[in-house]
Amino acid sequence: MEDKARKRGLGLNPLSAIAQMDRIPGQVGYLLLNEEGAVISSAGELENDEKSADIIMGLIMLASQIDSEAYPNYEGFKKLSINYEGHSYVVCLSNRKIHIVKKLNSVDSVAVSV
Amino acid sequence: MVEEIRKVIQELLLKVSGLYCVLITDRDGVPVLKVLTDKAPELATRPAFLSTFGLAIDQGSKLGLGKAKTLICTYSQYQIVQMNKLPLVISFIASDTCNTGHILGLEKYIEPLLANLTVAVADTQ
Amino acid sequence: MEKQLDRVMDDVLSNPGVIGCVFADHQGLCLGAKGKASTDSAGIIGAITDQAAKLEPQHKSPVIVLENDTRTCIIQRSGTITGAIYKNI
Repeated sequence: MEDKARKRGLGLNPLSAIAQMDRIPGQVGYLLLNEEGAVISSAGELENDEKSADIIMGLIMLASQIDSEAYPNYEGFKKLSINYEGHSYVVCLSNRKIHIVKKLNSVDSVAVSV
Repeated sequence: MVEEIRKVIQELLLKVSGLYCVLITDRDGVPVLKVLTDKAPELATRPAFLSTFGLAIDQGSKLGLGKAKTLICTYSQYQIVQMNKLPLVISFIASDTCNTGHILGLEKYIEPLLANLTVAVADTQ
Repeated sequence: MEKQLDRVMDDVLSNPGVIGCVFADHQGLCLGAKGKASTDSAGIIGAITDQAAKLEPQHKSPVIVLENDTRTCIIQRSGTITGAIYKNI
């Protein structure tokens, strides 16, 4: 839960976003993109990973078109996560920038199980 | 006005991977607006091909299920989705692996653009 | 024919917080939708999983979660079928 709050915190304090992304537990890489999808900053496994950046930009664009019936007067999603068995990507939009963190799924923040 | 519509459709083409072109024609296959990528098969963008839709929906309507709305044809390399917005017809040409449901979902984005074009076509007929 | 899927969808909807669900085939055509979900969204759901699968093609398809303060949408592909569940938090 604390982990989740910290991720949300990214959005609240954009100036120190990079420093905060570095501190996320289990983080193995991050990307910071501008609105057009150009890489502003990156590190770890996602260093200069423009391919992933492109794919995630595509995902964000698609996600904005989702179901209007289930979500009337819908104001957009705040967080997008892509969960694999051992790791996950967490994407947040804030201050006209796109924050992407790749992290390992630790025991205390198990991916949503369906 | 047409340029605005073209711009919107061009954006839609980028959104759906595998979608090659969107054509807005009248029921005889005469193009009102064509937005193509270089992958679009030239033969399928001709009136001779597109006008078969008019015949096909006339036949489809005889099944007793009411007016036909959409026609989806899949071929070995391509798929064609055509929508009945008479007097206009919208045709989408895409790769056979393209997401058909996603193409159908574009209807709600294109429909609001058609009002002005429909008036133009109706005037000339 | 779709009785089994109907039953699965009813099961899904009986979970607390779930407001709707929709299932799509590999072409993005709707197999079924229940609750507050439109059949039109089947295409977009298929497109989202296709796009996410490109991220790490060597792994099996991921679970995609979209969230805001009040709602969650969970999407996953299994075989050729893609399912999406809409929830209120």
